Amino acid sequence: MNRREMLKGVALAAATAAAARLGIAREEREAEAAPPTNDPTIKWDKAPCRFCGTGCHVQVGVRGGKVVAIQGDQKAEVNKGLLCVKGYHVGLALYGSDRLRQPLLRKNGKLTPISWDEAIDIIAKRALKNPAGFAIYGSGQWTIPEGYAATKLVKAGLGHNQIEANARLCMSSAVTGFMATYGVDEPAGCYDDLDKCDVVIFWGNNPAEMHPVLFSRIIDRRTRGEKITLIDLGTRRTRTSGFSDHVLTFKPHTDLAIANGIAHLLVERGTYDKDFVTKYCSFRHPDDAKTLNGKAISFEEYKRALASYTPEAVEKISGVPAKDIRMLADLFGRRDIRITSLWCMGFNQHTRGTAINSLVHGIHLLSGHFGKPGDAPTSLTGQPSACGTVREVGTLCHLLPGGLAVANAADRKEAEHVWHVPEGRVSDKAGYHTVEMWRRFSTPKDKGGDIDTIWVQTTNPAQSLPNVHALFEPSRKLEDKFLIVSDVYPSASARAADLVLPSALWVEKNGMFGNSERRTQQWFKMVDPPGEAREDLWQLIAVARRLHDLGFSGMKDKDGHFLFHVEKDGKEIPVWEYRRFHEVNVDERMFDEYRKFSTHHRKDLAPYSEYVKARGLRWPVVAQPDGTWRETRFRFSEGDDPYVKKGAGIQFYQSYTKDDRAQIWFHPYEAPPEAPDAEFPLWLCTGRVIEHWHTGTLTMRIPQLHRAMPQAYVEVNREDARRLGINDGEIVTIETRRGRMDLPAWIDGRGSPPPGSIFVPFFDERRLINELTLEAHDPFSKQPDYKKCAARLKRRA
Amino acid sequence: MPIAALVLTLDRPSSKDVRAHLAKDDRLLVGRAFGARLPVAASTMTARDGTELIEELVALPGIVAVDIVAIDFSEDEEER
Repeated sequence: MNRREMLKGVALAAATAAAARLGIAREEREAEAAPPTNDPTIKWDKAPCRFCGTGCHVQVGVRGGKVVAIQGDQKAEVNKGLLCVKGYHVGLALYGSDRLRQPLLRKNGKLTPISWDEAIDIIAKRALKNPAGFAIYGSGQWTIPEGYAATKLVKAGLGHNQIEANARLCMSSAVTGFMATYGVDEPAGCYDDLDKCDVVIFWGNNPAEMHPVLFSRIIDRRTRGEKITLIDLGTRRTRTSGFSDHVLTFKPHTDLAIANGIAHLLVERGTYDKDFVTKYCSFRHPDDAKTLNGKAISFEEYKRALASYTPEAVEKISGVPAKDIRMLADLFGRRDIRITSLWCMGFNQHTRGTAINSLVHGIHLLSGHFGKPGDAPTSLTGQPSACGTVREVGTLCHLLPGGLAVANAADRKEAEHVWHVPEGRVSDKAGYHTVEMWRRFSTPKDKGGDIDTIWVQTTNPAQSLPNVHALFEPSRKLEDKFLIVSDVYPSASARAADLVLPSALWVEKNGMFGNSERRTQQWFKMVDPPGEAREDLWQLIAVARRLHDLGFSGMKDKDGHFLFHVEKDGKEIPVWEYRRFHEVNVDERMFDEYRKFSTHHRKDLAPYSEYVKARGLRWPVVAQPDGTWRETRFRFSEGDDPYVKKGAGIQFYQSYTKDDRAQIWFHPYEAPPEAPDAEFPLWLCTGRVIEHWHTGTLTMRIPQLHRAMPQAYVEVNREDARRLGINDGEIVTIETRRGRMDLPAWIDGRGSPPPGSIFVPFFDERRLINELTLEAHDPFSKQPDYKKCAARLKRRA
Repeated sequence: MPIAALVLTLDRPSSKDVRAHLAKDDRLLVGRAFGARLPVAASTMTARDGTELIEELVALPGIVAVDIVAIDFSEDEEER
């Protein structure tokens, strides 16, 4: 037997073990018996996948200082040993040929190598010169310790709140929806619901391509003979539609009318869950001041508000037949089935994002489809730590770690206590939300552009911001604006930067992520970063220390210690010196400090050492009498959530009405800010594809994925194409009120938009579709709507 | 690639047609099915070929999904 045959045999053994466990649900223990490989020269360790928010665990095989193999982690509950096509290639994301390897400073228009010492000095002096104008912009790709350090640097050090993350662009409406409903962020349910539900409703969601491992988990139940009904509610047909029992295509923006139509029927017919509502819920209506808490209303007022949303009226608004609205209401009216709702960007990137999130929570509460395994409204995230870092650490302009708020005096005091900084150090003034931060960066100082330096880490705003012509590009022509970008590849943002810092990626550093189901995950550094690339966490600490050394008092705590003071055996370790950075596990120090915040809103985290042992733990994680730590699958439910009082059944213990009740909201359907008209007669929707992850910075450098989907395109409906005389593959011009772009047309390709709509993916930096999208945003979450704007299409002149 | 461990999900348990079709493919080593889950080892010359093979498998009638269990690209130096 040659080596290749031997490896093939080993691979078959691994696949057989996984198939056995999945196919007939054997004990996990048996499946683990299969070795990933019998090559003793490969060293294996666990890590969560670097890509989406599903949070699959992989086993990473390292030989000779390089990642050489990837295996789905069979001990991981999330993916049970399976991976999608992106996870399959995650190891190759480290090895693109154009990795950034040294700091670069723009001199006379060209990016020129400089030393790390010079780079850190330049950043610190920019912050020292105008601390109030110095902002940090990160993402849900920051690890938890990185996000925590960035937050501490800005909020405890610089003494303001100018920090944001690109998660503002992808899930902040989910946050406000949870806050408005339960008084606290993040889903009550978890992925276990997918194994127990009878019905899954995909609300503007395409998990077959965006969260394929979760989708596979659902489809697997069908192949085992289980009955599970899938309902796809969307504005275009996708791969998910192909597996669905019901495909309901609605006119963009009208999902609010559909949700109200379902609620109307539940109330009108009396099929809502009276007992659940009476015990656990109150009703809410938007107030004139447009606050997130709105105003309390009675059930009768709620009923009256819904009265006009008859199935026929909803059909007229949404295009979904009245019989299908009744079918959905029939399902929610049944007590003998369990329903899980899933959503992601379709709801969140929406000028009524908070409203539609709240309405779907409301339908689940109204119908009592909540709090039992399989009965859950669950939002999914697109980044590996949008939840763990941005939402939980609070790397946003209005938040503090653990869900605390800068506007709340007691919360600020608590943060100052944990950070051991003088009273008053944490500012009560929220910073600018993402769109406003970048608008001010792109505005001259004398015209109100008071942000003059932005340090970007782990994201690519030059490609992902909406309307980049207005929000990003002007800054590059203003002399007093300075853009710093820490990145792994020369992304569109890095290429436009004044200073570029080469960063370590994924298993080139220690890290922790938090996925969509409240699961906190940990991994260790396995390989060295290339060239002079260094950890983002180190970069943040090094800048803080340089500020300290330049005499900036904010970088000291009450006792005069450096803000990122780290000791070992009673002696301070100068972790700001890169050669000393690895003498202690700085991640562990950061995390164990951060977790002090986590109990405030009952998002309790275990000590770092517990995550080393586990494939993630879902918070709240609480200590047991025997010294072990127990995670929580179903939040607010007695028996599983440790914070629910005995006998309560369900208890919404973070309710902002302080009565343990969740809020069922009414929000009216309102017309969108921009809709097709005679001049721009089509809807333009943007989104993702299975091969590429977000702006494609990583996946476009993996040859296999690049070849599979080499460039952006525009999906065109066949009828529209015929009417416009457009052929498949022909280059066409898309125009909106903000710009124009040429793209090849794909008629009835992978996705299929209905007549009057087109779709363009945003992964291709050579075709920046966000030059055309709308910057209008949700009034509560400030999240822009990338899914809907008016456009026209024509053959290229 | 060159060696990958895959689990194919068939549209019905132990579909003999699909198994017979796969067995003719030199790139594949087909294992014993567990219900609708069929373990397969795939061997291709390059990672690119591997990706294309997965796309082919996804497109085959009778195959609902292709999940990847493991990948060893230690011998694949293509474009690295």
